[in-house]
Amino acid sequence: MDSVLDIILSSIRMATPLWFAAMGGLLAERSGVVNLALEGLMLIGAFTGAAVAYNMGSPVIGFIAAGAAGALLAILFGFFTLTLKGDQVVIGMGINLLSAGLTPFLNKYFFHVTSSTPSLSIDQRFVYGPTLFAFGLIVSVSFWLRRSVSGLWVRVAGEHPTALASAGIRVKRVRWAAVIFSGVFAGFGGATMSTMLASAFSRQMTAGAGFMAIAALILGRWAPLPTALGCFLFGLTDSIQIRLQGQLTGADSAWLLQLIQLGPYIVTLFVLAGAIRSSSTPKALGEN
Amino acid sequence: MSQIKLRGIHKRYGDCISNADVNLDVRKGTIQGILGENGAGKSTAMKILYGLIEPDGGEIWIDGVERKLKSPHDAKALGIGMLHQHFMLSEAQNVIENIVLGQEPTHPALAFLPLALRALKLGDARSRLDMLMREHGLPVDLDARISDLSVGARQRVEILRLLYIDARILILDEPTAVLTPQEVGRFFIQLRALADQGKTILIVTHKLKELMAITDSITIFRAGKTITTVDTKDTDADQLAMLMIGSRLETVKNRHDVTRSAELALEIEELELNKTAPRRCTLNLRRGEILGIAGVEGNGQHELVEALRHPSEFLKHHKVKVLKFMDQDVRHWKTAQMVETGLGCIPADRHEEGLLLARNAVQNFILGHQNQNSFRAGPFIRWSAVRRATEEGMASCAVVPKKLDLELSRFSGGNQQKLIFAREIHHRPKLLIAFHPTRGVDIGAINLIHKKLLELRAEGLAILLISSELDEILALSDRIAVLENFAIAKTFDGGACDETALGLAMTGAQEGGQHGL
Repeated sequence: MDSVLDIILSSIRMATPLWFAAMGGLLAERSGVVNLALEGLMLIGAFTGAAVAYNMGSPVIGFIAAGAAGALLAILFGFFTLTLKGDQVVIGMGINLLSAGLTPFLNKYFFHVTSSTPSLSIDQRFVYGPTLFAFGLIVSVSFWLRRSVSGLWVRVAGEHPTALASAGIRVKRVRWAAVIFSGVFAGFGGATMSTMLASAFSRQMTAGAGFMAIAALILGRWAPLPTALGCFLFGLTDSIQIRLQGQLTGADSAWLLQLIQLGPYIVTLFVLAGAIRSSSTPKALGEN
Repeated sequence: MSQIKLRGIHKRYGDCISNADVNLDVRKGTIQGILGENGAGKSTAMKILYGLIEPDGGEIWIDGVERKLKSPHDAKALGIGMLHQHFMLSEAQNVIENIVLGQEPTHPALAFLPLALRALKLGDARSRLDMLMREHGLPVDLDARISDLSVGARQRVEILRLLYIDARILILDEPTAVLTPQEVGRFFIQLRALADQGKTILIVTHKLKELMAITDSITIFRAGKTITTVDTKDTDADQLAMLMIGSRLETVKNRHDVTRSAELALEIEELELNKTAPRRCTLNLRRGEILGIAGVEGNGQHELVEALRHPSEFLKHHKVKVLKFMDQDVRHWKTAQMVETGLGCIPADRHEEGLLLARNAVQNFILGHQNQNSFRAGPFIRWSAVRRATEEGMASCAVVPKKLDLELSRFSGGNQQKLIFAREIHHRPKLLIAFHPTRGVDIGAINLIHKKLLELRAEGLAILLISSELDEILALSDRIAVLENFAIAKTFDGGACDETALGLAMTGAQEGGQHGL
């Protein structure tokens, strides 16, 4: 019994960064913008969170700074996709590459190493704060999307932007706001990884978490609660994987270990393979 | 005094003049028709009045005050509302959310927040809409998703929205294009009631009969200019047509004087067009016959065409008992085989399926016919032969300008359509599918296409004419089949049938259907 509870608790911890990123992705995609930059936004958030928490001695300040860093990078993404009307998929991938190169560079600049930031002490780290925050965020996003004026605008922006424009509301502004908040939340997700799950930023530490968040979004049909559930599924696979790793120690099982580590990625692959464009896909997704 | 006054409005895009000199006077509480061919500038003028397009010059006077309309927002503030040709409704949202969009009611307790952050309070809108629905006889389920509504109900939602935002001036752009004749009748009664209550209504259309039925006066657009405004009671459809095109046109009509051969070109028995539909489609078509398919859009027209163009592909997911083309079982045939055996097709959407706009006339002329022997020398294309064919085709269908190397986007809609037509008949097909053959083209092109269709029929071509223009179907068809809920509901003899009978057959299921409010 104990171990079941353990697995669930550890799954919740593993799912926390995905929750932030998926809510960010949900915001952007419901407004009609494909945000494949989540991965890069998380990565810059992970670096900024750990670096600022180390320098300021406070994980909360690190967390806020991570949101701001995500927002800044999201503004760059928005400039290319919304202002210059570039292809959202291509630019999203570009932002990911930029972030992958930018974080080691910044690390070298500030801490004179490229591999990882200095280790955070226990009072510079979170225990479960971000998880509670993520719960609140999921509930708020769900409520906001259905019940608020801007929630309605975001939904229509993703379905029928000309209808929104003809009702006198500027589609571009709605999308800009959605993209920036998407960056903030993804930044939070990254900081959760480096200041709660780990005690430092390490190179490429997001390791595809941004794409898992997108997979969860597709699995959850762009609705907040099912999407959060999808994230939990990935968290579960991850924590089982870690548990199995602990039980395999012999030298001959090295290949098995590697196979088990693939778990979450295989699940992602199957989820995405099974996801066809359905009626719940925002209709104007990816259009300029 | 006029409530709306436009003076000398002009607008050009590059070297294309859309509005040259538009002058318009509309009195309060009247219904004024805006008539003109496609490209005559009527849509542009209406978009200018709704603030969607800024004019290069000219004056707009509303209620005796000169106004500058920079966006729909400005127009709405003055009480101008527009019903667009393509509905501005978001399908995944429900009716009430679509109606309040842009004018959202919120909790007064949250008034200190910026509008975007406030919570919606739909209750207020609901009671107001209930009142409006009763008052104007526009019943709609406010909580239904738009995607679940019939086209007629969607239109009621749009009108309800105009009433909700308190529009005093209603601009309606081709409002009847998607309605059945019966729905049009009801719609006109509602319009007249609105005008009687003091609303001013501008109705843009190319349907003469409807204008004669509903308007008080009619303004005619030609080549970007307003030619004249006439009182409806002092004019008739012939005069309007003449004013619209600037000359008199003979009407093309099937005189039912050609004897059809007994040879079947097409035989369909029990074709499943939709898995959930209760009945299947059965029809046949003889050589030298025009079979008109009437019906409200979305009742299986697209599926029928798909089944004929790509039988093997379509029948992977659908059942059929018999599918014969020129007496051969074609159930396993691919598109290329159908074309080689003599299938021509004018697709419903010429930009989507018929043409490459960025390519020239010659390259477009070979599309879909690249396997024709006359166009090939082994694996290579014989461009000289294609050029010759294009030249012939353009000449026979009067495509202008007659420039082989001109990009297709530089031709007008009518000429693009004529080029598709020329291409599809060039290889002497046995069966021609004409799917909305005259949609969005000018009267000249309509006339030519109609005349050619009748000529080809006399030469023995079998023609499947699918159109939402009942006039077109009635004028040309030897037989008319009504497609309703993915099956043929009724078949009429072309000579012995009128619009009312067709309309009734078309609405068959809608009367009893779940959303046919």
